[in-house]
Amino acid sequence: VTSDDAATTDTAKPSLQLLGDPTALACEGDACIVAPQQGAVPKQN
Amino acid sequence: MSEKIKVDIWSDVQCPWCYIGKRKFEAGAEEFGGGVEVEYHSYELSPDTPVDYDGSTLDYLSERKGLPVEQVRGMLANVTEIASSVGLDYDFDSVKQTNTIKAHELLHYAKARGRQIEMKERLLKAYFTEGHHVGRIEDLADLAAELGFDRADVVRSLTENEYLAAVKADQAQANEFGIRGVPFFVIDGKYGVSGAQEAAAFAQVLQQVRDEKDAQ
Repeated sequence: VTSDDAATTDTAKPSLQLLGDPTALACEGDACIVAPQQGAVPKQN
Repeated sequence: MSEKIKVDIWSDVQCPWCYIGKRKFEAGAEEFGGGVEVEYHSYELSPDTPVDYDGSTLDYLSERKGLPVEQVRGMLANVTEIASSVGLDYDFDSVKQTNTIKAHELLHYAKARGRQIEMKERLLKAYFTEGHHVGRIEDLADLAAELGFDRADVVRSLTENEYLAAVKADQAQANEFGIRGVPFFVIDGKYGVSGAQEAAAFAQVLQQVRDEKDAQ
């Protein structure tokens, strides 16, 4: 695992080099909208 | 002509960020301008959801998460607003929560016939904007028939679980990659991009891969 990999996100194993914004919105389990997980909650006004 | 860049996308039909991410990826691929070959893969976010859930998305999320209804309502409004920004008219009041395993099987059925992208778009639109049920075989067969598939053959395939193993294989592959959230994009088999990124981010990654391939 490179330091860059570790700095981005932990959603994939080291065989994939992760690119892009690590905070992009995504769903984990049924936590797409309500769970306070990384990237799962849109910003509240 | 340059070789197309392969993009494997793990996604679920009931994932709001997957549909938004699909639009953003499509915009990014257009901005990139090069050849891209997309293949969707199955990822069940909530495999324990019953096919016929009696209640709305609001009910579902507030019950599952124990959050106040008004709070969930506000969050859904935010998602709806973000969807609107990419041209999607989400209608959570009409969404029918369900189990998506059969929808995934249908996507594999369509893939085997070279029409997976079309079927994926139809299922997402049906679920998020039209209030269609996407968990029952008969409803899925209706949607497939709309696209010109042989309805009876779709019913046969889904009844026989013809592509269930393919769905499970996709999910096993997601586990191997360590994918825990969707949408998740694997580009050229070596780069992972998680979530509904901005179009420019997708375009940048695609260009990076293109440049690397051209330099080889």
